[in-house]
Amino acid sequence: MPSSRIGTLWLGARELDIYAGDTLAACLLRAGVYELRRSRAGQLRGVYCAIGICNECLVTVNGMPNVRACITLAAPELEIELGTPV
Amino acid sequence: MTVARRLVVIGGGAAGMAAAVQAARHGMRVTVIDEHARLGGQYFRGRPSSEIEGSPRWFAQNARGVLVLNQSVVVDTPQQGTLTIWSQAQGGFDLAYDALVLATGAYDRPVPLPGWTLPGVFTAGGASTLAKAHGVTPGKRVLVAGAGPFLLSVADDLAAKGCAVQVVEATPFVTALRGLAVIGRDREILQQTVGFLARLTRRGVKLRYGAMVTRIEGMERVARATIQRVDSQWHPLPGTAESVEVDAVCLGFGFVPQLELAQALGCQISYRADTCEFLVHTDDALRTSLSQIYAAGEITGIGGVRVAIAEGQLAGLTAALDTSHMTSDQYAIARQPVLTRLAHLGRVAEWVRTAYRPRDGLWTLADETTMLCRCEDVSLAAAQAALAHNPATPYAVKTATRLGMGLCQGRICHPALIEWLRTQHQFTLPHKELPWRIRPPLRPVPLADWLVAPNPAVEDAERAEVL
Repeated sequence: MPSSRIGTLWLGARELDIYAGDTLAACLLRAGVYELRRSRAGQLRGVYCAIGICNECLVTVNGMPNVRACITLAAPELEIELGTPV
Repeated sequence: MTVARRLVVIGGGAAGMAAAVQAARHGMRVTVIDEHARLGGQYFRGRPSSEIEGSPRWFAQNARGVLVLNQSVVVDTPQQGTLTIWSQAQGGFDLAYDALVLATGAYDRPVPLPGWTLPGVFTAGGASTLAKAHGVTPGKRVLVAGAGPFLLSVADDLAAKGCAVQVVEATPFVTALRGLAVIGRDREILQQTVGFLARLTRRGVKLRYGAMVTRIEGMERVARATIQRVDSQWHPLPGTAESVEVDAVCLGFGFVPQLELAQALGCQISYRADTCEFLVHTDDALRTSLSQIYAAGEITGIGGVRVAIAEGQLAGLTAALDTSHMTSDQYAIARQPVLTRLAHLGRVAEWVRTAYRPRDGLWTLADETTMLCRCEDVSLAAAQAALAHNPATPYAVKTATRLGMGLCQGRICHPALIEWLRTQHQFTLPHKELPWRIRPPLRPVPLADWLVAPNPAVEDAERAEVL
């Protein structure tokens, strides 16, 4: 259970709360952000396996593409972009 | 014994932690490689402070001298006795071992069905992790669908967080009733199950048996799902479709083991037709078909956390024996309680994997537009077209469509493709290996970190945190 808020990260111009132990996926889902990117055929995709297997939750973090949101720890001031080109 | 031998453990879940502690207690130098930011595997995510033996807290108190490399993965197996590791902190390097315990665990069995790629569809295990570890729920009105006792656990996690949950179990109610005879002799599981049922009933969670989710729909996100009654082989029964309004679906049709590393190393892998599972072949001391290499936990057969802990202990002891850190007398005494426990736990595990094994009807749910391969967006129709002029093998589909060649490296599509080919196209599985090749890198890593000659200074790893 999230205990303490440890800061915020940026999703574009939007600030999302980070709680202790959060992954990027946890921050995004808690804020109601489910659609993370489009697949090769243009379908919307979001977190599916949540344990680092499926690579559906890829986001761009501080300019680095193809980061798995589900196993990457959130940290204050990170800048997240959705729609990662695979 | 004069020199401490190095044991490398791949996977810091229940099995890997237990193996590491046993081997370290008998004097081995132990390194644990784990992909995640924190130890614990899937079971202990969200309950790291659990007091039970095998938990991360227990590990921290008992793993004196064990080196833990978090956010690290095996990329390649360049030669016997050496692994190429990539770690977030240190990049690529080679790591030598005298003994190797594979404890790579499992993930939810992927099942392609219409709508399964929509945002809002989660694996049951993933939803459980998000709820337990982060207090995040997949939605407000959640359908938990699949087969097996894990569904109750997930429903309990989600209902406890305030979700309106309904559970749809594919096997008939009589399966659960028959299970009471087995579960009744396992106090721990009995208490747990009674607890789940009591809490789910109190929270108004509806349990439905002999039915499956056959379609998931929504524009951008899950909006509704179709539930249908199924026959004993899980074929949906016509005329029984019912639509439910939900904003999330959690799919849990059991688990499949992560065997890529075992296969890359050349360990013998078997397919159990009666439970539809691949597993690493081991002797009764958990030695694989290759010397110096041991396997523990879900990759020897899905058995749950208690089996994983016991197997981890046994694998750690056997590695210590084989590297002369124990005498055979010491080994015989140390392993006895572990074997007794495994025999006891094995009964429930065997019942679960047999009673809730996937039935053939599961592989008829996908329609022509359903993606079999989510990474490369290969539809069922494309896979069928690939088989028009070719024998029904995984490679016929792969070479024609790129199925399995995306970032997940086939982890999601391969298990389903194999069952689809087996049940719909009479594909015969090979006896001693997975029916597809594993090629490095075993995980996607930055190309530069892998191609540049790996850092030969294994001792670099020693700079990482030692518990």
